[in-house]
Amino acid sequence: MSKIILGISAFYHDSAAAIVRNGKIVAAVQEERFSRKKHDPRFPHNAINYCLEEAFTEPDELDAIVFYDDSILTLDRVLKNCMTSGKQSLVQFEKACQSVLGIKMWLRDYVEQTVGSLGKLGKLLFTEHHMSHAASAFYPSPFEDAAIITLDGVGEWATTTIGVGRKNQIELFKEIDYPHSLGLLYSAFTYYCGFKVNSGEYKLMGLAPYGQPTYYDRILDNLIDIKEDGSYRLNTEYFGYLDSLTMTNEKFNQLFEGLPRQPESQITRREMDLAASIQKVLEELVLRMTCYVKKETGAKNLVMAGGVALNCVANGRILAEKIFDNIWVQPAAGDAGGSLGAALLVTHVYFNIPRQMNPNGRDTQKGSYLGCTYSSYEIRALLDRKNYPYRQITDAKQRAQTIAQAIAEGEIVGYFSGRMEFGPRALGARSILGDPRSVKTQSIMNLKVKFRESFRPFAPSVLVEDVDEFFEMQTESPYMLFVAPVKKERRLQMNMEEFHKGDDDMLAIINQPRSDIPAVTHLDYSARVQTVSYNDKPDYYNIIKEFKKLTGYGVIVNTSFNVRGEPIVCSPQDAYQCFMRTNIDLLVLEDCFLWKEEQPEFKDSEDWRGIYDLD
Amino acid sequence: MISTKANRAMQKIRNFFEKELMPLAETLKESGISFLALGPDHDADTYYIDRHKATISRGDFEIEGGNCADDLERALVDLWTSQGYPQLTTLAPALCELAKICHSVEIEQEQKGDVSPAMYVLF
Repeated sequence: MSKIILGISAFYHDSAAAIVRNGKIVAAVQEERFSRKKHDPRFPHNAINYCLEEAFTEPDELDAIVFYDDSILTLDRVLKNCMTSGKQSLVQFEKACQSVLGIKMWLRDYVEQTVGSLGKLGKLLFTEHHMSHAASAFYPSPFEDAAIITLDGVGEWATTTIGVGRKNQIELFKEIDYPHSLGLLYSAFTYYCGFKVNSGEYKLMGLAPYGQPTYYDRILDNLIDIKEDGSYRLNTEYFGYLDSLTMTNEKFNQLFEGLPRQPESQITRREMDLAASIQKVLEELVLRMTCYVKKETGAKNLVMAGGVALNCVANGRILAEKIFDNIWVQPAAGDAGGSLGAALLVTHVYFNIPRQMNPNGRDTQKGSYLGCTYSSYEIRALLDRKNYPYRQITDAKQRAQTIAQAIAEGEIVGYFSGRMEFGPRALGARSILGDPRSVKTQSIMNLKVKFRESFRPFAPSVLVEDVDEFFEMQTESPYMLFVAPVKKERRLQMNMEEFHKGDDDMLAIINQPRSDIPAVTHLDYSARVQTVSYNDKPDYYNIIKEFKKLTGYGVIVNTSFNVRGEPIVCSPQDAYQCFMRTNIDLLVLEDCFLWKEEQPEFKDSEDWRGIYDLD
Repeated sequence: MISTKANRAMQKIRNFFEKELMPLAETLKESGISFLALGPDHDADTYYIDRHKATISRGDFEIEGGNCADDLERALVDLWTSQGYPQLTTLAPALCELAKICHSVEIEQEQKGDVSPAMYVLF
């Protein structure tokens, strides 16, 4: 009998909803895309409404509604943490009371008020946070059996779990509990280097190749003890998160001889070296853990989720070491993906619906194109109503050729096509595209399009059949979750002498060509690869194919369609606004083409730079 | 601007913290009970711990107290009793009371259309 399940994650960061029918993922989306507030933690009523619409389901037709974690156990942790930390934890207790007691405990009320029904069961179901992560990694993967690793900041108590998935069942047999957390350790360095916790971790990873791991030993000697099996414990004396509202404390400052970097101040060699050091610690720990999991389970396949699984450099190391034959990482590995995992877990465990593998051997995540879409008719109605000049190109081949031509001529293209991506990465549905061959693309796209820090690298989208022509990678990476080195023969020697002597000017080295695809080659000759196959997204594949015909390169630059601090665009209106606020040259809204020079003057009713909090 | 209701709630939270939570924490500490391991143990072979329950079954999805704040007290009592910490159960009634007070403040905040800063904290 058909079962339709709604999964919800909320009240921490990246609220989301997902809907699953008989184990098939119908829709999944983050609330931030609708509310336009990055990492929106509020109850995801927009996301839920979209999921119900996409599934043509009324709330009272839902067989179950499930929340992705257990708030009672979270409260248990909060109380025990404060009882351990003593009187100085009052400030934290005050915040936690408001969050856990004032919000999370009232989940049923939120659901009843927003959804209007608790579904056929008449009550909510709950799962455990890391079970949700594990389910989001295992069930959509292409593997019947797999080892599982989940790593994040903290769930209820667990911060790390390991186990196995077999057919319908997930078994998590070991864990590491709060306050020991690899995610929180990495976030502590994110904070200390002047980036925002829960969003700046990606920047820290991108900064790491600029530095040397000079603090590596200091971290291992003082902050974390790692056993041979990859299990670990932190020395909590150095961290503020147990008894204050900051990640680090005075003792941490003393260890690294200075105060945390102020956000938006100049990044110095110290931050680069700290980033390199903590990245090295993280990679080595994850590698040890992966070897242990392999030994314990004997599995050929590995699946991963949890925020730390978005560290694509570490993922690339696991891949390169060939510890497992195959690896699959949930593209929405953070808390948003918990909504999907929870819904799948209820499907396969609560309702015992057999898991169905994709007959073509691929995963069942559908390319992670699980969000909303807009028809050409809807888009034309908007453009006509607003009198925005556009040209409709109905022929798919001509569309791909026109876009490829623009990219080859150095233009920046805003590309809006099909269902929006679920997870933090843009994969060709809400993307900004550029020419990877140009040495200027990285700084132009960073400073004039994205308005973000110049050091941040861009990712390549490469034809799946051409991946090993450009990168030292033999596998698919459809979700941009693995970093691989650019082929040696494509690399160009860089002049790093002045930089290594202590010159902190990153722009001087960013603008040096590093390969014949400099815009997607990071300082250490690595690239965060997205392989594109015709089956996953034919329109996007065809653009790259046409670009190859023009240039000989089956690879383009792909970055998310947004500016710094803004959620990725969701609607055509969002896309048009972003297009007009930035130096994007051409906007493609399905089959409608809008050139910047033809557009009327754009009058912003507000200073958009003040709308979005810097990430 | 912080409302009178929010101020009152904060006062209740502080009272609970100072008059119930901390004294109990002291008592438990004195009797040798600790909840968190705060640092490395260099003699240990591993830091992995065996999970209480490795697999999840149908009944595990139905969490007491998760559906209604009114059930919170019973859920906490059951949890702490099962964990072997009956001393903690004395906190449960006051926590239920705090939940109601904190939620009424949250509703007020929502009506103002703001995103509550309480939603985006570590916990």
